[in-house]
Amino acid sequence: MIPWLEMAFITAVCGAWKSGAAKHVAKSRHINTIATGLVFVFLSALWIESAIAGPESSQAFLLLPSHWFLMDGINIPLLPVFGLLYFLVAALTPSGKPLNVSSAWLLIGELLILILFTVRSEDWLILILIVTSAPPYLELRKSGSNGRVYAAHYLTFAALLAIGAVGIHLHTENTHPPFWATLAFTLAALIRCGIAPFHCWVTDLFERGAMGSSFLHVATLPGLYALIRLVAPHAPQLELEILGELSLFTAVYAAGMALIQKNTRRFFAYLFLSHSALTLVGAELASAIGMTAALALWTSSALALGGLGLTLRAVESRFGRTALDRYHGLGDSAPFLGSLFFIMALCCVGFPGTMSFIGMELLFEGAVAHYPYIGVAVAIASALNGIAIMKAYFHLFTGATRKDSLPMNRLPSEYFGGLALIVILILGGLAPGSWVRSRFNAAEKYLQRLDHSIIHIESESHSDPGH
Amino acid sequence: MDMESLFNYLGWIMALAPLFLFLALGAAALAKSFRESWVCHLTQWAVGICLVACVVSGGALIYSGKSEMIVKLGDWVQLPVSGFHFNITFIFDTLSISFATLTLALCGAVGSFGRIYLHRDPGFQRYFLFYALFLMGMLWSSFSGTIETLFIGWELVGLSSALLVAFFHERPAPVRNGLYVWVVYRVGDAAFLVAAVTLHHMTGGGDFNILMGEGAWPNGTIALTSNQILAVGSLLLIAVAAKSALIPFSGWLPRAMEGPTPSSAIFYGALSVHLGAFLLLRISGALDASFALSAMVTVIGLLTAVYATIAIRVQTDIKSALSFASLTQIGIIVAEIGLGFRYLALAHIIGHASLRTLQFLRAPTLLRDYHEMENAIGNHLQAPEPRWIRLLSPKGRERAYRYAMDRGHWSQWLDTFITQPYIKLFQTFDRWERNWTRLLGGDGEANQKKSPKDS
Repeated sequence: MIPWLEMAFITAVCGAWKSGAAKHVAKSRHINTIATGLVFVFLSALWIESAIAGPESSQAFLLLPSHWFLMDGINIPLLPVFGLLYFLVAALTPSGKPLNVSSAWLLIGELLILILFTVRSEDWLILILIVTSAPPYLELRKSGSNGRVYAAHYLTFAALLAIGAVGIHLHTENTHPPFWATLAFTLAALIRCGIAPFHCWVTDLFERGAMGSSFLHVATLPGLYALIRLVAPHAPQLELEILGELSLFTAVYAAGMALIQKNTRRFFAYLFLSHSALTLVGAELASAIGMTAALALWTSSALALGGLGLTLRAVESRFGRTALDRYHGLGDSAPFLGSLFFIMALCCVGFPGTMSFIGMELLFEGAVAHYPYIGVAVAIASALNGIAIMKAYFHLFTGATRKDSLPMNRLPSEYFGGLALIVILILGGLAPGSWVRSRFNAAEKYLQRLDHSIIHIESESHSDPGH
Repeated sequence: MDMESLFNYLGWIMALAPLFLFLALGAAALAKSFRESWVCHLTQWAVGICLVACVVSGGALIYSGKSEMIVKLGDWVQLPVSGFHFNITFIFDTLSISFATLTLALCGAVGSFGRIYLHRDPGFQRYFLFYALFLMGMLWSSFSGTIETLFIGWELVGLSSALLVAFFHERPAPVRNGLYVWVVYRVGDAAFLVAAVTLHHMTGGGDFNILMGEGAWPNGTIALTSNQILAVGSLLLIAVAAKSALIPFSGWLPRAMEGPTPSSAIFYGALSVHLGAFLLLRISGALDASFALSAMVTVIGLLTAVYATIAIRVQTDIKSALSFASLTQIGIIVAEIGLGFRYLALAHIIGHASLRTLQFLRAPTLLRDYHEMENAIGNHLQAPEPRWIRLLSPKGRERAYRYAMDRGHWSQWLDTFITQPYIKLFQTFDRWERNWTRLLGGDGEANQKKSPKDS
């Protein structure tokens, strides 16, 4: 019995401290890589242990008071995925890249994300959701970029969360919280997930901010977690229905926007928005199939979009910001990056044989069952995303061969990081059975908990005529 | 060993041999370590093993006296309670074995041709990687027993085809054409996906038996209502039209000729374009049960054949002429299927695919052959004018000429009525979004000057 979660926390704290205290940027980066790597190992061990002994067992291994944490089938498998993303961002950051903020922020950010996804208390969850919003703004300010769009959205987000928290505190355990409180939570989740029309901060952040930290800020989908933990247990069905329809609209709209972009960063931001909206659709279906799809896509999209984002970052670090308005011919200069981009792009759109395929199938099945006509939007979004990624690949990696004076191909860290992602996404796609079943079990348990709390509230309301 | 076990082994061979070939070539590509001879030997072995397995399956089917064998390779995913399952099921029958044998024979021939044709080409390994993907897609499609299995094969064929059209990626034209092909395929794939899920919802399963009817191909009585058949069948017909370049999606076929000659021969001349017709043959039970669906299939097939035979008259390069010749035959094959001549259509597919492969492979040397013949007879070769042309008035001839030159206006119509409005609409949205973020950010003119051409 090893307290893996606490070990991950301690490693992140110590790593952040050592990294912040390091005098040289290179040493600080080295510490970051080691610390994020160790955190990833500990989180993987936690996941393996829970897969063997059951998610509930992880709760028992905690040294910290177990009632502080909520460990279940939803969050435990996500933790190593996030750990891997942070590790890859740390390991693949070019050593010559100037720092906008202290490199300790990477580990502090990771620590906050780990706490966010494991904390039990709704108040703490809300507080950490607000706190995790600060680093991108600080980074934007530090780099001299205009952070007003981001700030406007996040002030609204924080205010809505605070209003929702007040509403939650006003209701007793056996009554539904007031409508305005759930509405505030829902709107906050919409902003954090980048659902249209509250999505402009995502494209703005990607355009102005650093690619790695912008990506890490959105890739873990804290908005979806807030939706699962804060909105779904309290919100009326109608609100979830509207949320689902808005998400479907966003999935198609963002996919359509990704297709016409000529700015690579905006293309990636819209691709991300479309995928996060698709994941959200699954969660809002309130069915076992839909929730399974959401949980499956959460993991696979984070990994695939992570790989794609890191590839774009590697391309930017070599060739600068490349526009999608002509054929750059980077494929001959950087063939590995071309292959990696293409494989990650196929994984993103749920191509057969990749990890996202079954998730997309489940989502489509669930969406059409729930919304018989507009559910077809999932197929349209998928088709548009497929066209957008192929267009981006062709523009970046095909065209007349460049004459570079220096070799631009892979670095060893990029090669091994990319290969690890490819292996995970392909193996997960070729043998998805047990993984999808584990997502299904987690979804069923979550829905049972949700039903139980709703039935409990309704039976108490009926027995108490005062309410 | 009983028949069931034998077919089970054969099914696994068909499923896994091309997959291993693809993974091996893919791993070698990532590791940057390969030799041409190694790639060729691996490809020959994979194709050879599958061909032997295919012939054995045909022999075993005849020996057993059965008309079909259904092999369930396993549940890829099966979720308890919810009823969701993703089966990998292969059907061994006259149709699948014939089509798979044709695929393997032509792939084997073109593989050998490609070895010499692309010798020392920088894209040698890339070509064979896509070839392996295509082979896997074709075999999975041929033997697919469920609509989901067919979808996997269908997608693999589409991806490999688009990538091979863009094979010579140093020039922009092949890349643009590859993207065009991919767009058309994605439209078809979306229709296919909707059809698969609609079938699931109507029947609770995605087995072809539901669309084929009970009984071996091509005889089967179907348990769906005519409206249900029409709904699923119409969606599948969109997918078929996209894959087989039937109107209104015919524009992609001549564009696909930018790829290397062996890939043009095998994909767009012989196999890939017949995949749509194969799907129609597979769901022949549904066609029998719905007159409206059969009529739609026949009309689309005939219109495609007429369009292609007009367009071919004005083509000036051999590959475009051959592509329209292929399209004419595919239109006729589709019409045959709609009219109920299933065995005739199957024979037509096999004959046409074999002839067209030969013609495409001979295309690069055709000019030399013509010169030799002209030298031998001492005069220019002249093609006789078709008789039906004389039936047209001069004005009619002019119109037909313009129609043929513009390739039926199909691409222009799709561009005018779908692509351009789509781009304009989303560019407007993009402008609105930028204005909104400028307003929020308060950086007005500065940002506007910074990136005026971002979208």
